Amino acid sequence: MTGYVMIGCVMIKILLFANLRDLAGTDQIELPLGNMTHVRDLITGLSAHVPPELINALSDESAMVSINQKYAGWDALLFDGAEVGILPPVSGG
Amino acid sequence: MIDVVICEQDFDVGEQYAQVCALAPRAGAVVFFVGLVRDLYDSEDSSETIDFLELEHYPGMTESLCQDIIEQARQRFPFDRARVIHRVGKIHASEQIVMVAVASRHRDDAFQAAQFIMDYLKTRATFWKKEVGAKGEQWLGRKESDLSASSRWENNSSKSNSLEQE
Repeated sequence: MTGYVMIGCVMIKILLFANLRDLAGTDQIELPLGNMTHVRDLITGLSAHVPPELINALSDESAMVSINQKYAGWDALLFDGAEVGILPPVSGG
Repeated sequence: MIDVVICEQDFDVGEQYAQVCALAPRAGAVVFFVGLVRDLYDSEDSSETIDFLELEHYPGMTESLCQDIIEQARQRFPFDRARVIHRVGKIHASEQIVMVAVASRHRDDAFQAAQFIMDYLKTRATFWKKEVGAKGEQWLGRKESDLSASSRWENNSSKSNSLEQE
């Protein structure tokens, strides 16, 4: 597992699953909140840290997202310490 | 007894049945659904077999979602006890992958609650399946048939809707 950890900053933890994790090459990335305000801002925020294939896969916002393990929308607000899950269409059962 | 179990190990349906019955002594109906891994790739035209599925989930969120699905089912179809077991990790063709058990006073609530829970598990719970076999590996997406099965509950909060199926 790899990540980007900055001590003392307001951080967002991003979890990736299934094919999105495969595209990213990692299941977890931490980013400073910086100027990001909404979940959709993560797409830009991630672009310097992950392969372009992942950014392409996220750009249509067809994946589901969660914040602190509850389903949320791409327009949800980010906050310090948020755990954001980026969730491909589920296929259990 | 915990209502939701996410685990790698297989489960014994007879043992589960005994446990559910013991915890619902006033039940008049017990419905079990057990899902098995099919041996063919999921695409409609496939005649190629898979070796196994690789299942992953979002620990914590999955358990919470499954519990929430059980509670939603309970509000619609009163039952005494429900239990969900979903396996993760490597699961070979023909092995058990999921179990939904519901014990209720009358059979209609048990049948419908089990179906509701299963339909919602497939479309809301954070599990992901990867097929691995002769054709290589592929992650499965959500199927239209699953979405359709799940959506039929959305405009109906009472037990009347399932009778439309009959």
